[in-house]
Amino acid sequence: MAQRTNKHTGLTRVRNVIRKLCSTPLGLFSVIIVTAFFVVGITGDWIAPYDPIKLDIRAKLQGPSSAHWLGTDQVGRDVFSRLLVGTKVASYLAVTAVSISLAIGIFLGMIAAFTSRWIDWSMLLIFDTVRSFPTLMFALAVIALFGPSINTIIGIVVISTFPSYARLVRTQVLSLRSMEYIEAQRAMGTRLPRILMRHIFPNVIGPVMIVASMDIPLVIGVEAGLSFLGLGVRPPTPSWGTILNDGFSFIRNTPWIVISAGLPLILTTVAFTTLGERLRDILDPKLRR
Amino acid sequence: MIQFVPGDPANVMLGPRATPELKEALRERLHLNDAFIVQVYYFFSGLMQGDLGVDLTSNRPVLGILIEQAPFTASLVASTLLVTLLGIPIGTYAAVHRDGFFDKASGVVSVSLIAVPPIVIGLYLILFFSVSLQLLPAIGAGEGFWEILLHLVLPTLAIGLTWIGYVSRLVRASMIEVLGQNHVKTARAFGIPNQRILRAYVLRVALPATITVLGVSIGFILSSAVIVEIVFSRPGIGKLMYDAVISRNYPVVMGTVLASTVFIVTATTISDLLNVMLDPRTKDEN
Repeated sequence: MAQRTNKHTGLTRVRNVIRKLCSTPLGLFSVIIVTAFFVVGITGDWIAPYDPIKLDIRAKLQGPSSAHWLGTDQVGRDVFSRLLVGTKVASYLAVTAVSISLAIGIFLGMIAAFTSRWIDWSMLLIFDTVRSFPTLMFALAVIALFGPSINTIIGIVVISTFPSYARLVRTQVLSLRSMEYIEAQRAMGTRLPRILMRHIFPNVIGPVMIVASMDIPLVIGVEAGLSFLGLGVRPPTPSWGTILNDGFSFIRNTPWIVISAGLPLILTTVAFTTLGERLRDILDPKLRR
Repeated sequence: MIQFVPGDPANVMLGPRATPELKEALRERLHLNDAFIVQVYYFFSGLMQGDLGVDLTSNRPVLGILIEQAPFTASLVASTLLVTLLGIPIGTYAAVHRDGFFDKASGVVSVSLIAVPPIVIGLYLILFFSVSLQLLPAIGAGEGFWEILLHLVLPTLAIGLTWIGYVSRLVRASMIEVLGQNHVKTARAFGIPNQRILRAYVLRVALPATITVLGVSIGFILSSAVIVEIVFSRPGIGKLMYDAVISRNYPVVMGTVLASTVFIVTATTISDLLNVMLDPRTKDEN
């Protein structure tokens, strides 16, 4: 656990982890889907065969065909193009919200572990209070106050996920703190920020990344849920949730919209969860459940 | 907090054509002209007397509406918890036949179920069971015992499948841990039948873990209930909250938030108490 990492071994370790990941069919599947998710998220605008917001009433609610692979919606927009461009919202949200949340969580977790007991306890109390409230209900209350937008969703995701990172980091740091090499550093007079950055941080980042990877499905689910309710991304911007909602109104006669909007959601959420599980098995066999 | 939001509740209630005098009278009645701190005082003193304010659109007391809607959500949550128990036999079987086909298949399926958002599960269930097969109703809550049960099936599965997956993974993990322990090995050595070992030693250890998880999960289940109630057009606290948020009906939003908090606190307390009953070791820790 407590080993020093420098740049050479760091790179080989990453390569080793990726090789191990790809050695099982499930691991390979998750790596491919996750990579595709981010690639499409970045390039969606260019690779989409049609303009995702261009109306074409004459072509409305068509079934899948060679012109429109996944059919068209109620105003004739190409569902496949909308899904590709909708990936942008999902991947943007996954990256920004989870990174902000990670940064806050790691920072607060390290502080909680290294400060006085009272601050530690009051931080724990706040973390647990925030964590115990249902995400979607919290989201609804926040949206009632600030109105729907993608930034509101980021805020909601950050507030509801950072406590679990902070708690995890805190536990990790507490066990590291009493390690001999950390005590030796302190005895040598190394300043706390330096110890935290150079010796503690590399050791806590692994476990936290695993949890983060497993939280991405939650983020994607919250966005899809809120957009489905009309409280997330504003139309006409396509997102998986708004496409689901479009399809839901016509579920009885034209089910392919819901089916095709559900598929990327299923694929990415399953892939991220599997990726997290595989990473955990590889990096930290002790955590395996 | 709600008081800081732009938009005047008086406008929401009376509409754009109301006269200034009417609005003023309403503001006076809702204490909207008082300082913020005074409003907070009114809210909490009302709360102590069981008065949560009135619904801005229908003028009915919020508490009454909550009591009317709560059973729908409570029955949904209760049936979800019941369904979740299915995870225990699945997890047990997988743990006993470790690395067998069932174990591997259930592993993949449960991880997928855990990952996929309930909204997608719900929509696919509607597609499959109500649209294609036309077996189960997808809309409303139903009337009469049988109808109510039928209307509960799909919403329950939409939320519960995730937790069946979760519980089966958890039970499997804790069972495998216990199965490897010395007292189980000794029991095996004495020739006690497998069935009895499972019931007497292993399940006892696996159950508390499950109950703890379910206690913590109540928050998530409520969260999913909001979506599921809307997708299935079921009445309930979640739907009530959503409608209130859309129409800026703040007293109702406050009421639903309060109700769900009470619900969560009660559920976690019950799960803690159950755990102490089932597992005497936890008593010493407290």
